[in-house]
Amino acid sequence: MNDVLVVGAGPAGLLAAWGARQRGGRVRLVASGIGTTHISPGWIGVLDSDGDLSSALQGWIGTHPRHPYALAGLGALSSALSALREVTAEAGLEYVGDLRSNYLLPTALGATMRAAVVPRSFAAGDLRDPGSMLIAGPAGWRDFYPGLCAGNLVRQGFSAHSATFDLPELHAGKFDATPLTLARLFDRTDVRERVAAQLKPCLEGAARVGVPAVLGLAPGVDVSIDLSERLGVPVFEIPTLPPSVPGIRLFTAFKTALMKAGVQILLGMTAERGVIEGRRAVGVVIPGAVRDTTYGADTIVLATGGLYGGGITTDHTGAMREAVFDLPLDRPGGLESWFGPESLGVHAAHFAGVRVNRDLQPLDETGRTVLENVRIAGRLLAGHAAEAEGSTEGVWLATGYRAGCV
Amino acid sequence: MTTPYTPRLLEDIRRTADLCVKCNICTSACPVVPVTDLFPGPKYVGPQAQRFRDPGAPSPDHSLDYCSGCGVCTLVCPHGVKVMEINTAAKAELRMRQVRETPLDPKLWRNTLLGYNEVLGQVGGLVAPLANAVMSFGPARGLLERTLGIDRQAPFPSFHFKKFRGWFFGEHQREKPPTPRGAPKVAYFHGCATNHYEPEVGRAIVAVLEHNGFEVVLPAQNCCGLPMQSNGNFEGARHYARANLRKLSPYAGQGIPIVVGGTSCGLELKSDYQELLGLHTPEASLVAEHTYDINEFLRLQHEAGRLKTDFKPDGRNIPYHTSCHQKLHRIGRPALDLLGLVPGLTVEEMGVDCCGITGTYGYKHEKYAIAQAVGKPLFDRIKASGASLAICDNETCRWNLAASTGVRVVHTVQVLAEAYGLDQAPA
Amino acid sequence: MKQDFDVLVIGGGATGGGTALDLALRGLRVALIERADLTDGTSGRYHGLLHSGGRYAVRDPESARECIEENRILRKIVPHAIEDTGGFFVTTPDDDPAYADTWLAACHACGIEAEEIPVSAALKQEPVLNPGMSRAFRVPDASSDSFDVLTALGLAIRSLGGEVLTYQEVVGLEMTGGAVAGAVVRNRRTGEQQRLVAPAVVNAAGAWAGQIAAMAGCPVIVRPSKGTMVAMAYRFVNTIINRCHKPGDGDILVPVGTVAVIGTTSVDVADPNDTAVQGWEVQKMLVEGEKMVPGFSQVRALRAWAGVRPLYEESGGAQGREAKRTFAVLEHAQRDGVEGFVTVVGGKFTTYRLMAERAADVVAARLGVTKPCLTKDFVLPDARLPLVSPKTHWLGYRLEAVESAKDGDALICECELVARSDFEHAAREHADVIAPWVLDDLRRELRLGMGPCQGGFCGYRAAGILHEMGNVTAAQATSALADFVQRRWRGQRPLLWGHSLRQALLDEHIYRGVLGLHRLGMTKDEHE
Repeated sequence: MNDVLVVGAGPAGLLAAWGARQRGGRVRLVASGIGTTHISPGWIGVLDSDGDLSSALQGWIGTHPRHPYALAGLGALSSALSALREVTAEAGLEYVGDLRSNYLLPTALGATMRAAVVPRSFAAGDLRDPGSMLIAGPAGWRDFYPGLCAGNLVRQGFSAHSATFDLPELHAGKFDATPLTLARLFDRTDVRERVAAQLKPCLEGAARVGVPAVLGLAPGVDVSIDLSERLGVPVFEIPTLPPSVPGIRLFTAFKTALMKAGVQILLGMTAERGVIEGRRAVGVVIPGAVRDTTYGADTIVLATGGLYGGGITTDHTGAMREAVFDLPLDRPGGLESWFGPESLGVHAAHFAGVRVNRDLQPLDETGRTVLENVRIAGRLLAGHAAEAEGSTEGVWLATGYRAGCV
Repeated sequence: MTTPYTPRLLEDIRRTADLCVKCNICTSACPVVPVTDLFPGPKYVGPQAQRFRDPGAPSPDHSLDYCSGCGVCTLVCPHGVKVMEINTAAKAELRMRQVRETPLDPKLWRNTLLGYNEVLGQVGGLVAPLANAVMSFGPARGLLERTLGIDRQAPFPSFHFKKFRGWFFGEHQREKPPTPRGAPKVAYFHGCATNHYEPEVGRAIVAVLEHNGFEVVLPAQNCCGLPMQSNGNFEGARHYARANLRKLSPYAGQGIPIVVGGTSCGLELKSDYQELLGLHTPEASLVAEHTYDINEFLRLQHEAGRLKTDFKPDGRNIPYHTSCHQKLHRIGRPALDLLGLVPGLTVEEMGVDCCGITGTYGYKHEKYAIAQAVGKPLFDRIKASGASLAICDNETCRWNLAASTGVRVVHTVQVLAEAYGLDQAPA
Repeated sequence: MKQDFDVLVIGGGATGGGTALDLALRGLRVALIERADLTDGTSGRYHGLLHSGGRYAVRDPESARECIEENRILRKIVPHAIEDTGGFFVTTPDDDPAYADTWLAACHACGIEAEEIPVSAALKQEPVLNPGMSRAFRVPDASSDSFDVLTALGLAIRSLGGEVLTYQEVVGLEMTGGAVAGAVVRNRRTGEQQRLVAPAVVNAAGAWAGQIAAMAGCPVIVRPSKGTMVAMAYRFVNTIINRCHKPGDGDILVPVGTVAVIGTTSVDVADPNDTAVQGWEVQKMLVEGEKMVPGFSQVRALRAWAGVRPLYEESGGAQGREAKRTFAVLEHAQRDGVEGFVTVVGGKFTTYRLMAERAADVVAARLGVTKPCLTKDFVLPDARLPLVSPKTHWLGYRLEAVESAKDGDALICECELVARSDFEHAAREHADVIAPWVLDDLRRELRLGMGPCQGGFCGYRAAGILHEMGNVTAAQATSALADFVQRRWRGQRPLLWGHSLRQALLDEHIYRGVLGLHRLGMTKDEHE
């Protein structure tokens, strides 16, 4: 029986814990805090491409043999997607789409993004469909601007107009509402009724309505369906500034499923360093309020994130270090080479990470396995620039699940 | 042991505001934000407002007052910001402002009074039957609410005339079996709640420790200071802290572990004396290094093969609430690990972050409804389980859960004591 | 297109602003001309120190005396832009202890109140200072906000009938019979040119003064000396800290609002537009910072920028740190035979008012105006937002304002507590709200995007509100957002390690991963 310790509560860690639990044995998950579920927009981006996604993927792993997709294998991506659907379905949360093509979706700014699999509540926003859109949001809410969104969509040739609706509850207190506050409001039928009543006269023949991704939080209820019924046209969610309600729904679905399966999820527990004997990782050391505890396991999955999540730490001297086991890193040279002058460009630092083999075991520069019972998942992996490729979610899916299962 | 030099700049816990990237994950996890319009969230009153607080001047805040201090924010922050601790430190500054500007405010008096938990227990205990009668008498509670702002429904425990310490030094010394030769010593820090309100918890802890071959010694001790600290009275808390350190350090100096039954008191001794009250002394370090939560201690014994596991089977299904402070110990779930040793016993962690009371927060009239709303999902889950018994290792949480669910709530060690068959009041 | 004035003042920094105000107070119709936003030059890029003069006492006593006198005056005339932090001079283990006595005597000789205090008192006030320091002295340094000062100057100039013309670049000076008779300016956004006619032109262009003077055929040698500063995200000192040693790099640490700024370096550059920050400069600041405050290099560095000092040399003088920091007023009629043209150059922010007075005296005399200088006593208007604000500056005033507000007013920039009504007010007042740099201008006004998240969250909100206000198209709002994001990046890039790196990646995730900003280039129609 395999005793698995997953380090990291981001999407890769959650998938890894699920995969490991499916295999049986004790699974524990420790993390410094909540991971990138809560800031991710909610769609599952696999690879940014138009047209036939599966051949694009095949082509990609051919030309990028060290990419996480090539190493974990496209089969892992499919299995992971199935696992994702299984867990979310339990929570009444549906994901649609597949690896054959990408949806083209609007962003809160009115730009376009591609994603292969999306929450069902996003799907009606597919811009491959020419239907005209009403983009609507609560008046005076600081985190979504329907006018700007619609304006930019129109610039790109899509058909859209905008409107706002009043939600007096937003102005009841003097502090700003977060997306979560709004989501809880939309859990109420009376709120949905009022919003629908205000939006109906604004439709002006629009075929569908896009609103910020705040349509409910309570598990098991797809508020977007209810709102669609009230309006008589499909309604879709558009992700906006964090914290991300779709991301929180995903986290909650996994947390519930994992706890039900007996997986202990411990937050506020930072793996400060690892304990190594030869080529095996014996465990990780977690500082408590006054003393350390060593968490041992047969297999340790590192899903600690990259430069953002703290899986790789950096300092002013240009040092870059894998935070737990000090694993060898593929990395750019000195500080001055990490980032270029373009703010939204592709930078050398994006590719930094731990190099792995097909079993996601960490390797050194010569290709030798450094620790045989450690698996690397998610952003900590080298060889990919997730944001630029549009592969952020696909990588955590494929490698997270595989790391738990292998 | 020499402590490596830490520059003062890096010592201050408020500096962790530096690490904040404004992601608002803490705000999304805060249990108070969803239930009231009066609290803007931990990021706002913590790392965000901290940059505007001048250490030379009282804090220009008001909304900070609604932070309950539960610490969920600190636990979920992915970047290491000690959000709750920043808020607690700021509340001390806020209190200074209140003392200066509104010294006659009844709420200020109430907050100060609630900090004197130990004194309340001593005074109330002297006239226990009368005090208990008064505290359960509606009109009296109504008066208390209107004058001092202590909510009439807030769950006050029963006062006892006979204290735990009295039992330990009296009846227990007379009746306990003789201590085995060479028995390792363990010092028990019981805290105000056990001494004045829940001596049965103390009795169970002593019984379990002695059953496992320890000699339990009871140091002189006083209130850990947390009720004062969480109400912003840092000076008062430091006074208590220094006194405790004087009393406990001789034991720590002899290498005797100090076990603590209350999770909040334990955290206070382990880290708050230094991190929050700023008492960076060798004494504080020494005592901290020897402090263990009782469940943590017992689990360590088990891992070393020294814990007796002669538990009677128990087929019950018991809900368990992990209090916020327990999570802040960052020791995992030793209670669940221990209870897992009792054959047949099913213990289910409720998975709700906070019961709402957070020490003295829920006792305050203007916060009682908020506290109850925070705890409601937990109360509902416990009631839905149909259980007649629940477990929680933190005292005010126990009283709150009992009052809000009607279910009897006990400490983990009370269940273990019963499973060992030790002569205690049945759990 | 032509406009007539009595005096044109070229350069929207403190010197130009101060000179335009001085002349306006004397009854002249002035136009202040600036090629970008006010403070875009050196005035907006220094370390925020209102000098007591202590730094110059030993080697440049003339500058030192000017500083202390002007320090006292500025505290009276623009109190809302000055925080009375006080300053320390400290002898660290890396400093020659003997220097302190020389320095103290020099301060007293210049009339600077410098008083020795016990090291324990210094540590009590500033616990993070190097415990190994051997001596400490108190001086009347203060922290000043040049954005607030220039905003106040601009407001005052306009209220006196003057004009403040930003984003107008001087492309040539009009010469009539060997005299300067005006300037030709070009609108930076539209390219449109216009003539501004005036019998007197003041060249207050700071590091660019040489280039402007050359347009009139007058040789003025200004040596640009670049200095880099780093703002640390957390204001861990509340007193200005100076090293008590021969002035060098990174020996001043200034609390400015919510941050602590360390400066600076001294690098000769050929081009006054060269404000690129080099990696070694940042590292130097961290190393020097450690000497004053142990642990310095481990706290979050928020932003790095460089300003160019306008070092003036009448004729082949000393360079860099050795150059005197006094100023000069050059009457070109006498010096170069060119009438109607005066250059005021050199100096520092602390002495701007005095520089302006001297320059204005020359111009007034030339124009036959006898009214004396009034700026010593003229209190500048407090134009800070929120609009209800206290007289003197203190750190907590924005938090106090937000906390005591009765109604909700959305916080657009949460880091710096900028409310929506403040933003809308500033946007309405902006002269050219469709320009791509509008958000950067509003940033200077409001501190939008100047906190730890460096515009990660407030950028989208600001662009959205701008669009909602109705005078800006979606394309223009999006261009403004892209411009804002790129400018924020420039100051973050030299510091991308630790949590500043995490922040930048989060910001990138928001703009790229959530909003898709990188996909919104100009569409075909808009290019034409």
